[in-house]
Amino acid sequence: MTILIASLLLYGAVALLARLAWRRHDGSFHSALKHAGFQARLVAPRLFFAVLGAGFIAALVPPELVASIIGDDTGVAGLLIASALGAATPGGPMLAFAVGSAALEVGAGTPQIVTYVTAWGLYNVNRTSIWELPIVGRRATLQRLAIALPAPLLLGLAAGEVVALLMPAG
Amino acid sequence: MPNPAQAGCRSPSDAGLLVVAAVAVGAGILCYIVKGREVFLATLSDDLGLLASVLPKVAAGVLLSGLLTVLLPRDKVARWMGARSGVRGLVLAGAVGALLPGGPMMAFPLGVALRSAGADIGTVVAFLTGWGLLSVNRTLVWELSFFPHDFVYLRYALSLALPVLLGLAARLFGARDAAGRQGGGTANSQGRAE
Repeated sequence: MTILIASLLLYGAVALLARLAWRRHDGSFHSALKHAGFQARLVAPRLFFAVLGAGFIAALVPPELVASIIGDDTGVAGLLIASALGAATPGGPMLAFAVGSAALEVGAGTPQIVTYVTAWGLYNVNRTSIWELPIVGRRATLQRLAIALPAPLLLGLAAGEVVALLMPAG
Repeated sequence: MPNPAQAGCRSPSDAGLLVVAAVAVGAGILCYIVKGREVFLATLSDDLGLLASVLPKVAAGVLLSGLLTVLLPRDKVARWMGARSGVRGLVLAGAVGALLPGGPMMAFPLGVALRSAGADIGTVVAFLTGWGLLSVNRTLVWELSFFPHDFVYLRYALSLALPVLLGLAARLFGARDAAGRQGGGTANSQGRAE
């Protein structure tokens, strides 16, 4: 159901904006398509290999191992490891989310994966070094990183509280 | 409009793709050898099913980001946001970051434009945090496709306050930093008068 609504929203937005661009009659529409094509060529192979790779790795790694490193019972240490993994995961959302969801399926804890996704979103090393540093500059980047550093851990701890609250039995 | 995507990033991102591809193929072969044909084929068909279910949304996401790249007047948005301040400015910056589709090639230049349009470091941090954690497009296209929905709601709800919190922290930190290093301005702090 959510998926359906999400798709409707997405395609509704696409239709609306496409109409806007088309009505400009100044090549906006074609240049948007060109941008989209460029991105699609960039994303498609990454998506393909990211999903396959994450699936195979999840099938290979013993669940007990995942659980012992970033499982629900690993506490702050698990959250710190998850932060580091999130920072180290390169590439776009397809890889990070494929890895995160595969880990969740084979025994990682919810708070740990919240931390993982947050760390990836706030400071993955690959994106920061390729994009943020050269564009934004060293000082502003370091300042932002220093402030963002504890956020994944704190969100993970909060997620743990919420999970415990919602599922007192587990 | 300058686009650093073309200049600096072709080769590193291609190298990244090669690594991901090599890992995927290696893991596939290993899976076949260690776990056997059955598990390999079951995993493969699961993954292909996931890909098929994600593809239509990815297509929409790519189109959306192309359209917005063309339609969104980056300079105007920056000027409009640069003039706001206070906590409301941070909320607004986080919201714009969340609504802005597109990857780092879109977000970071806009962050810089914000800065030159007069926004303070807190606003830029709030904007980049909103983009990094609350991106509506990314959550609709990718996150909901991969993760259980409960997980996505939990993560998203917990992250809602972060743009404002980190923005406030950046202002505090930035103010102290600026006081401590009077006159030692870098290229990034030009044009700031506080």
